[in-house]
Amino acid sequence: MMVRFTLVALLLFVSQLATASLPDFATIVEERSPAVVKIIAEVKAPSRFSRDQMEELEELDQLPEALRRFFQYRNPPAPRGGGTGSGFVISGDGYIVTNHHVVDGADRVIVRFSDRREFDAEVIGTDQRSDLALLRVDADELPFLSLGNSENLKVGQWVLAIGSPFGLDYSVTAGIVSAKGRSLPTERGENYVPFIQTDVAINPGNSGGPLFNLAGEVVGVNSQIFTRSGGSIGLSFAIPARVVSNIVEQLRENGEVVRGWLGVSIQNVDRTLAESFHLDRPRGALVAQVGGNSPAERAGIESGDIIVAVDGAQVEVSADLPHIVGLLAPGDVVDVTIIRDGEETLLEVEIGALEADEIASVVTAPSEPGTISVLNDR
Amino acid sequence: MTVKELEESDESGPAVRGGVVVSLVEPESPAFEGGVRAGDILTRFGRSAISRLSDMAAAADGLEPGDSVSVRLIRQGAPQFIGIKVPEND
Repeated sequence: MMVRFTLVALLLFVSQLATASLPDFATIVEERSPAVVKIIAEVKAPSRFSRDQMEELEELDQLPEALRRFFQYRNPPAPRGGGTGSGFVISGDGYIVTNHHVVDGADRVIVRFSDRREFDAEVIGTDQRSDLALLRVDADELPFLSLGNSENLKVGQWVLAIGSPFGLDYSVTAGIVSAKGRSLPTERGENYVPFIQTDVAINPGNSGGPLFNLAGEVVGVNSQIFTRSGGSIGLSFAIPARVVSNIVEQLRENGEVVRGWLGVSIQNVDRTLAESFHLDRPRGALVAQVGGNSPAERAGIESGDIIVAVDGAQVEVSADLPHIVGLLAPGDVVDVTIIRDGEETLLEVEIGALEADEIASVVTAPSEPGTISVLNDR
Repeated sequence: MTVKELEESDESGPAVRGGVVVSLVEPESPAFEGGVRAGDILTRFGRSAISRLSDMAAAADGLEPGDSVSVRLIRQGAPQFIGIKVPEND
């Protein structure tokens, strides 16, 4: 009898624990959805297909009708070009955040709300390096979302996405933070965003939509996925709120983004290099080259120095350095901790400005192992 | 590893200001294992700058078995460091 009672009590306890630990997504969805929008980017060009895609389509025409049905696009191409994405309102007076790649090259940008109101949006500014864009619609008293603290986000925490994957408006998906500080260098080898990796199902059309924590704050902007099929395989990447607020503020103030510039090319420190530089373990960004007349050169940084901290932030791997320096403002004077001849040394650096067309403030030397490739959703 | 002195014609961009060119890397040698390849221009070996063959010999002189040494080299115009571990004596 006693045993049975204990068992029942245990079962009750377990079921209570399970109830307590399950997150309540419904309230967040209900309260936040009105501030999430669908972005429709229209392009005047007659075709939405690239030349390669057109060639593929022409090849399809040569197949017998019965076979063609299996390979052809289920929907005929839209009469006008463009694409769709997601976004969210960040102020009652009409400012909206989305991805740069959602509105890039669009002739007209339309924002659609959950109550199906549509507005033509003005593109206030876009930033290719962070893949963020700021739009504005002529409206008042819009429901809006606030940006949370992405630095406090912990790996393993629940997160939630709302967006329009494949045009399926207001699709809600959830998952956990899989990792933080992921580097996904762009085609130009640049790397200014320490992405939040999640296993939230993100698909084409989700781009630019918000990633929420369980407090209903936006902790990231869903931006990229790693995929082989074109659909989600549980490797999704969001731009952290810290980067979003920095970039959005600059776009709002100036319509463009200015980044900090150090002027070094760097590489990772592997085990043998760590031993040769008398480090206790592999860490930091090894300076392979210092640019002539760069802030780094003026501060006395030399090739062979290992940068381990900038402005109080630790540089654990070389990819951390551009994440930190990119968010500094030109003219900032910051402490840079280096290891030279096995000794830690503090140098003062006046951060320079990275020009819009300059290749990179920090180039990573090509000795790095291959990184995953990422598919955008347009 | 076989190296020769840098000639005018070997210069591969503004990053190169002296150094020695690697003409041959023996397979399974510590240099090869570390990632040094023929065509690389070595500009630094450990703490010593390298501009002539004699610098190279002098820099390698003090190395003991089991030591790790960093080598700065320029490959296709881009400088990088490579770590080489001197094998222990059998």
